[in-house]
Amino acid sequence: MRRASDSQLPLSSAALHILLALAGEDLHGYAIMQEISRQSEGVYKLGPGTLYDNLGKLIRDDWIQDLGQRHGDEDPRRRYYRLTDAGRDVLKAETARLTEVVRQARSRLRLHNPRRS
Amino acid sequence: MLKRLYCLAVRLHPESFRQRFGDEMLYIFDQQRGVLAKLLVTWDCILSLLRQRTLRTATEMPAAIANPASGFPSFHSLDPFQPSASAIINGAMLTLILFYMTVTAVPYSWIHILHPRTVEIAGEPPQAHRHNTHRFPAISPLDILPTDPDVHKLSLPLQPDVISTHSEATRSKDLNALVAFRRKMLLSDRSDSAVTQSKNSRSDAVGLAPSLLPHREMLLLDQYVGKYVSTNPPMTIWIQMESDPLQGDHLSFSSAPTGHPTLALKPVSPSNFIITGARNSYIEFATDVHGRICCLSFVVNSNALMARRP
Repeated sequence: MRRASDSQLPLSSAALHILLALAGEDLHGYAIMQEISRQSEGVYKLGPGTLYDNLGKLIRDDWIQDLGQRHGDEDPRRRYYRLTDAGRDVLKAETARLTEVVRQARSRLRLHNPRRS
Repeated sequence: MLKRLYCLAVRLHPESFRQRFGDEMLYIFDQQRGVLAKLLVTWDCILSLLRQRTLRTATEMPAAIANPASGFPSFHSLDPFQPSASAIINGAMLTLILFYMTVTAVPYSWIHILHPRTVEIAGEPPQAHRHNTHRFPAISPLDILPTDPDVHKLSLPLQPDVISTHSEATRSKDLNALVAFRRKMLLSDRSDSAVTQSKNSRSDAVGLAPSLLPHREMLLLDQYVGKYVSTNPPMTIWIQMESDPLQGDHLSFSSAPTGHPTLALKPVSPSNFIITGARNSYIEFATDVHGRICCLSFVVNSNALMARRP
């Protein structure tokens, strides 16, 4: 049965990496950029324009919550973001979809290259 | 320099976007180390500016809602639906296809053919074959002035906006020809009615019902009846005699011999007939050297279509 979140899939690369970066803890924008760079081992780097464009969409979809500024933070300009339950469900659905894609890909590659496997 | 350019790009973002993320974007720029990193961030900010200004116009809405003018009610839709680009493209293609089909079908519609006001005619002008045909004086419907009381009894239809381009000299000439034609018709009617006055106590043929028109006038109208063919544009015009108890005996104009709607013709001169119900349109007949009707000009809004007897 197709779920409501399935209609939003597949996610864009930026949205997937942002949700993935926020899956562990609440982060501000620059920390999200750094986390994404770390997760992709420096391959995928997000600029601030792309980051906040996607953050705006994810906030409108209620997948991310804007926590605002934190008192006592080292820079008052930083705002923190949190993954919501809906965003977590979407991330799980996207992960399951990607897992199926990987499984299919492995199966096909094994079928076409039996000697190498 | 890069900092100023970056600040300018951030400032040019839509207000709602700038209010929400502007400070953080400036913070991110300050965290960059090295010119290359700052250059990449600035380039990404410029791309974001273009994206926000062209593709993300909906982000303007929250700011507009957040600051409504005092004293004025504000309304907004809770549904963030916007048609997708593919839906817009499909709609545009469907619209173009329907428009093309409509334009293609219009020339084949009966209403278009039978309603002279919608016809765009670009045929040869009537002057093209006037050199080898004898014609009655050209009289436009506007030139009809009921100076003769007997002519007035005919109650000819006056359409003041049919044609108004004739000069005063032409109007006077045409008027004289028309009055002479009508007087001739009336005299012939009176002679016929004098013979039959004892039988049906008729005093004036003009005052009778149109269905009782004298035989002589019927004969005069018969000479126009027939089929006229136009080659450019290809079209066949049928002039027929109609016997209607309400309208009387009259000529009718049609694009098919039978079974299709017709338009009644009202004579205003031996050569000119107004098409009833169609403004700015009339039919002008021409004769050959033997005085027989050989062709007609179907005139609509000063555009003429020539049709000849086959």
